[in-house]
Amino acid sequence: MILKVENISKTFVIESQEIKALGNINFEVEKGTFFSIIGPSGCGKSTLLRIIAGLLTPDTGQVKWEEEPKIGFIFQSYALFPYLTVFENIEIGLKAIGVPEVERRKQVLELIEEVGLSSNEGKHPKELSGGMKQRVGIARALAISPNVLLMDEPFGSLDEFTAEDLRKLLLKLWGKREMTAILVTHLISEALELSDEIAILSDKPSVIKGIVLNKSERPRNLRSKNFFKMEDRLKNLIVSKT
Amino acid sequence: MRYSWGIHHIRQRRHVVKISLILSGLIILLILLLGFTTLDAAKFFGGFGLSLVRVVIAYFIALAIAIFTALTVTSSKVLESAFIPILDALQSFPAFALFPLLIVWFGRTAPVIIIILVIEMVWPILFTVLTAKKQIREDLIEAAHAFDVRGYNFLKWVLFPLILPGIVTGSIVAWGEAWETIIAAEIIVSISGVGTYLSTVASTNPKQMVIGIGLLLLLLFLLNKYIWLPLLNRSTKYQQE
Repeated sequence: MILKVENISKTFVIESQEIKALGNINFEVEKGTFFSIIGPSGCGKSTLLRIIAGLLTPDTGQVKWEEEPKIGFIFQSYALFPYLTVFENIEIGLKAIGVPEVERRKQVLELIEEVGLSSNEGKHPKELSGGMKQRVGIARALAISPNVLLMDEPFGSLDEFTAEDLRKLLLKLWGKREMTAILVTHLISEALELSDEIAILSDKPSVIKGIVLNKSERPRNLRSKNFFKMEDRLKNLIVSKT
Repeated sequence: MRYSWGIHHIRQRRHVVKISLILSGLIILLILLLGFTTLDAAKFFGGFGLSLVRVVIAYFIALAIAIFTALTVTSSKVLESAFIPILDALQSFPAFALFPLLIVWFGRTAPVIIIILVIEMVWPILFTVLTAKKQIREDLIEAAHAFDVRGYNFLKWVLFPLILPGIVTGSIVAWGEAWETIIAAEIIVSISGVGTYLSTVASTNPKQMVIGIGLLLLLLFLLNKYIWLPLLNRSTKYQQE
């Protein structure tokens, strides 16, 4: 186990109205696994991920790490700095922790090649397509050599073909590293294609409805009987009342 | 809110520069027709130099106050809801009403002019920076925090670049207002400067006054073209998508 989420709850006050986003969330994530959190839109998945990342503080409960986490974060909106080039966006995390310039340059150029962005290092985000922007987002997250990769609907703003390409790239990059991945998505097929374990969140205030193990071999056949069976099981769990 | 500037304003400013170019051509023509030699160049440029120094000093003071205030006020929701209505009300205060008091305190000296200029210049910069700060995308702030960009690095790599377009547009407006203000302020305080020069020659040599005003407009146009417009163009790189 690398992560234990214990009794997490979170309420937001919007225009003097209290909205309870997260009920009482508990789960554990094994080291090196690909873990997905799935649930209906607006159920608080992203809030939970931000609490895990330390970007938000929970009202109750705690996030316990078995080892010191080094977190790489991938955003749905890419969240690239518009005035920085591809190279500068990727290197920002390394620069922040004081990695020397020569080493930074080497690591960033290697990553640029690995994510398929060679010869684009001098471009600014506005010159890139959505898919290319998310490649930068992936490279930026991996640049700091994280042991935990958190992803908030990373392919949610992309067309299906680009998303498929990037899912393959992500699996390849994750497979090459000793890294625990936690993905937030509302797509059942995406969660099934990528994950070893899938946590299903209920509607607000969210609680974990169940955790489904997915032990099928990779690369996964998205048209197989087993895949469809798993998909139905997850759908039933999501729409079920308890 | 009197000042609230966005990207459309930057585009409008480009349009203003084109019009300024045409006006400058007309001014040069006017100066040639009336005869440049009738102007007392030493007095005019000496006065202009003094006024320029006052505007520059006031600009940097106003810039520092505006950025500090905008960043402090927007640092928490409580401060924001408490202070923005106060600032909004304060910006309507007529700075010129302070002249009698300032003259009593400082005499007829340059600090009086600089204080009035600071009061006039601070508002457009403050409100454009406030707007720019409030418009920063939340995900960019989160990305900075997620990648450990904090403290001074956060200011330098994230916050300052993202408010830069606001600083530049606010500065252009402030700069324009400062020149309007300084002419009147120098006449009221009666100390040397381009305002006093124009006021003096208005009664003794109106031809010199017309050339002086034309030349002043031309100089201000050149400052806009070679300082503010390039800065404006560079700042568009920092606009959020």
